[in-house]
Amino acid sequence: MTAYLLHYYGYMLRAAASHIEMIALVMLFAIPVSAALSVLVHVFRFLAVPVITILEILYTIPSLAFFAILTPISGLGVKTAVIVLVCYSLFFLVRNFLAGLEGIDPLIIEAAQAMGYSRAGMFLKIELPLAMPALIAGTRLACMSSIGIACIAYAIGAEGIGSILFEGMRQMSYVKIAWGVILVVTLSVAVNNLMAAAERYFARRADPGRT
Amino acid sequence: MNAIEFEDVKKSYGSGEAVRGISMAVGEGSLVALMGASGSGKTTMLKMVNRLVAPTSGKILFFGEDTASMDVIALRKRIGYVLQSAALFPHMTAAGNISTIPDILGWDKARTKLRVKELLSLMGLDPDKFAGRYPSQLSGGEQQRVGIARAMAGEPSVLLMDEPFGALDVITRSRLQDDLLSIHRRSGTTILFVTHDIDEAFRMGNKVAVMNRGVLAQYGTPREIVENPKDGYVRQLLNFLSVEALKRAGEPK
Repeated sequence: MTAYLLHYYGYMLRAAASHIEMIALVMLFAIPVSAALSVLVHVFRFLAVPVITILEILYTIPSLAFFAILTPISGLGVKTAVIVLVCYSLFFLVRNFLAGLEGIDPLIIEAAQAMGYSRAGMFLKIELPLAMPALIAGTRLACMSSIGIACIAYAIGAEGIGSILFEGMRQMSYVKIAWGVILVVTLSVAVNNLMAAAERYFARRADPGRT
Repeated sequence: MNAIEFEDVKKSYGSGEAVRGISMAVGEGSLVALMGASGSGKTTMLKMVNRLVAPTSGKILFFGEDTASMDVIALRKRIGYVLQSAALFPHMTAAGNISTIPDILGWDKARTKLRVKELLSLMGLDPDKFAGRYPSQLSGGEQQRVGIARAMAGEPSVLLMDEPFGALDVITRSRLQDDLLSIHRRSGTTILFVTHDIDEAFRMGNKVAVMNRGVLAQYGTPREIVENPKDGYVRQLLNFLSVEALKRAGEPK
């Protein structure tokens, strides 16, 4: 175990770094797109059913199948992996963001409306800060699911922690598999804790009197 | 001049009729209590004034101007609105909540700050102690005081209040009723006050509008209503008026 670590720590770090890079790229696209979609659905309610249905359908496609469908279009590699992960992430993000917006006490919305807020003013000053914790919760879920699925993306040539795992499987090397697992679990736990802290921070901001 | 005039206003929801053709005027500077049982249409009447609800037919005039043709945001900026639950914004301090409308109106910071202080004091809340508190750090009565201050911050010409004291205990409620009466006397703001409590209606209103199933049963001063109830419903209601409130109604305001 230690011998492998001492010999290959550079390679392991690079694998973890490309994994993180892939997730960051996914969030970079998924968060703005989901925010735009959520706001659109929030303002034009009739879009709710079609948008959610499409995201649900995308989410039910198994990842390997999804990679296979897209490979002829967007080729092998990180690009296809990111597209698939963005599609999955949208499901978590949009659902949580909408739940956050719709979970605000309707009387608070009524009071804000009666005060003469413009639609945009009300969104920025009232709805967004109050829905923020839910948005972060959605981002946390999206990150968790992406970190896992990104390992499988090695199958289409997207480098990451998946590289170590797949090599381990091919060579029946338990050492490699173990290190791969340790890396991916550590990354998951770290990101999860980070996002949980962010969630607590925004929950406090949404109701500072509670704490 | 009338602050608000309802002209044969009707509102139906699906097959049900909440308001069945009401005409009444609320004089500038008066405090009118709109009272009725739940489902009598009183809240619907209130919400039609700031266009949270659109009337099915009829007209509502705001200082002589048809509200339907006014810009809705401009209209709302001139009307304060207080709900039963204070519905304060939980992510803002008391001062932040009260500054909301001045901010929307684009007041400068110094003027807003002064107004916040003035209103907190007016509502019997020490500004130094309460300005920085968040809604969940306030009691129900304090929240409602901040709610009223928030509604009055932009110096509205009309204040709409929907059972503002309905969720408060008797002592807090009675104190707030007195405070609101004195604020009304001093500020001269027109107030339309919805309540289901007949004692409260007779205590607060210069005039009382009794609603019954979407119809205006009677509209007059407490004294006129006590001395000359118009129909059986009003007579029946008066049976529930406390002796104290009855005595007060007999005295000229």
